[in-house]
Amino acid sequence: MQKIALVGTPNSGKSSLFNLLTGLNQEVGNYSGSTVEKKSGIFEGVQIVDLPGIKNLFANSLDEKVSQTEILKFATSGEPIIMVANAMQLERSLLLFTQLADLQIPLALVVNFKDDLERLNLKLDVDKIEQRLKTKVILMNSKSGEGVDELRTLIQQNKFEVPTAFYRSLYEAEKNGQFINSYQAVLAANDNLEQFEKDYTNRQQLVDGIVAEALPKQAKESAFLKQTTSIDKYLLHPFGGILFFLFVMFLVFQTVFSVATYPMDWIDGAFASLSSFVSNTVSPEWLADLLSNGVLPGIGGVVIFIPQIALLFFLLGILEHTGYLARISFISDNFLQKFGLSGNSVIPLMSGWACSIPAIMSARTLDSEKERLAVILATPLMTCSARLPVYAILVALIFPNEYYGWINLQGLAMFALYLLGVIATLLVAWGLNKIIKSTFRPLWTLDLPVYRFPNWRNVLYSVYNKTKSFVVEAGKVIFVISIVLWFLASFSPHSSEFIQEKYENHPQSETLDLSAVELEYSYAGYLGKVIEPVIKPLGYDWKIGIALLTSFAAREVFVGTLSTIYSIGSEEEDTIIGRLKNEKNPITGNARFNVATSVSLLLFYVFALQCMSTMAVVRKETGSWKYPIYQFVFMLVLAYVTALIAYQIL
Amino acid sequence: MKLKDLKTGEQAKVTAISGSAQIKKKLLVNGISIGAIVKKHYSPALFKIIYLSSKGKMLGIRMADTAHIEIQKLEQ
Repeated sequence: MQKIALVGTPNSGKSSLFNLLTGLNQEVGNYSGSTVEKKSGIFEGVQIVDLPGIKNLFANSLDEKVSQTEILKFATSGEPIIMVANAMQLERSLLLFTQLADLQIPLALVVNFKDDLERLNLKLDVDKIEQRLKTKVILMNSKSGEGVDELRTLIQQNKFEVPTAFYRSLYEAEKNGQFINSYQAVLAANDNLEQFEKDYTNRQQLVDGIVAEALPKQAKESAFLKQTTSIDKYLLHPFGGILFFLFVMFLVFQTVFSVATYPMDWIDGAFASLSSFVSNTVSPEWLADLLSNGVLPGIGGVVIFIPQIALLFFLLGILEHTGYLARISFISDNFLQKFGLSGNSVIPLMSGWACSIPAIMSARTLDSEKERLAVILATPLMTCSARLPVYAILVALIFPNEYYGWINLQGLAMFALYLLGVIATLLVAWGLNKIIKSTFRPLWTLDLPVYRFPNWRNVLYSVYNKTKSFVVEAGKVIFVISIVLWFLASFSPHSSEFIQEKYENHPQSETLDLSAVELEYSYAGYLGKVIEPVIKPLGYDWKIGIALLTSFAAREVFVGTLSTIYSIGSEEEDTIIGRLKNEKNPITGNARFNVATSVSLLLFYVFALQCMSTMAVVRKETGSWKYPIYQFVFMLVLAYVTALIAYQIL
Repeated sequence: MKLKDLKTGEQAKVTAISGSAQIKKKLLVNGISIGAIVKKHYSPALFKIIYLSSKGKMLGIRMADTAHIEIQKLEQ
């Protein structure tokens, strides 16, 4: 299949174009939405590869190296590249274009944000640029799709051209035929400042001249930026800006918790009814039992959280696509420096609210290796979406769903848990900053994009991909674990007579269901009892122990496991929360999930690293198993100690 | 005159850049090269960052790092 790469500077609308071309026909790897990995999709039978944004081909950070490596591969294979340029920052984009041209790659240039030009009554002389660059140029608005037909024709007819080289004759660095041309050799070397400056200055002068002829925009540039700079006077205000940021974050969590409650209740009720229906209609009996008490409660434990997770991704997506996320970097830089981080760490850290994996990978954008390592090791303490189901269920057990004015009590508790995750992350980053030795301090800069109304297509694709990734990844594990758990919890090494005898001799046999005794003497019951001495000081029994064990690989399995375990131990069909609320401590007769146990569990899940995928990514990003192992042990000890203190105090 | 001495709303031309190769390279990539015209928009003291624009691009640079950038103020 023919392959075409999309290359562009950051904020050139490259991802918008990729979404427009490929729609839902994307393959985004395991973890969607990452800006630091290449993505691919199909358009008109052609594979479109979306590369991370890059300012020039002299790669500096790790994400730029991903793009540089891929571009050099395209240069070798002779496959074409579509260069996406931002119409209002044409100088930067064309500079990159001249570098691509010198690699002798078949190219086409898409000038995006036609709407910005129209808003300012600016006219781009496309013919002039085509003539100077000797390449097909298409003016587009990737938001509305204007220009896509022209691009389709270009791709179908494969009308890419290899432009005339600009400056590669300046260099004589070709190394024994290892590279296809001298400029590729220069890029691969990438350590000579003099050569870099010469290359950059020459190209800058060239493109300044081209832009001056094709788009005389200087007079209108201030007008273009004025709206953004005016808004920034308020949003970047020393006090108003911080208050606004805290208000936005508070609003996000209030919305996530209060609005999502309604569809979550519907889903919970629907799964309870479905389990009941299956239990009454399906035969044979063992299959009905497997489905209604194993598979359905387990899957329901994942599906129920789709509204909350999708809403969180949606709101974070709006912050990103409007340009506000970069402002959070601006206002937080000075504060984060106290913890050895910079404002650029905010995006990886906030991505950690969605999932640690893309967050850790996006730390590649950081120039400082020390900061990158600190972010990689501290980010798993940020509250990821997999923790959300655990928090949601435990918060609902502790706090009533009541409003004080317009503030939802459960939403407030959720906000406090997220804040606790942030504080823990910063303290760990501070500690790591003291431990990791490095004298290199790169110059810090921050790109501030203009404010835009979000491109809803991009936001919704991002929500769809990320939510799908959560459901599929978690769903696969939970499906298998639910079946295994059902077997372990439904079968026993003992005979039914033995269990009947235990039930009849049980001190609470009058109030206890037989199924509860069956569970206690099942394989799962024995497994839970093995670890019970270790977790008892935290307030957990063997049933919670089973959920802890199964969720060591992926924390989101906790709720599904609890749902399955308590479903098996109960004769009644009920919602997940209902089952947990009704669970009694057989010794005291009080609620099993009382405040002390629930708070202890919450704290355990705030701090524990229960995600094998995160450990695998940390290993990949650091090149050593040493870091994920340290990370796992440190977080487990932290989780155990804080949960122990909380339970003993409460 | 240094970039940090520029007042809000004023424009200047970059005349010299000092510092290590890494610093020069980073500034160059972000459009801060000798001869570039920059405009200062905002500089809240609490955040210790200068917010400027050059060729349609807006950029934040830490106040401490602006010591590397020599400028010549342009009359409006």
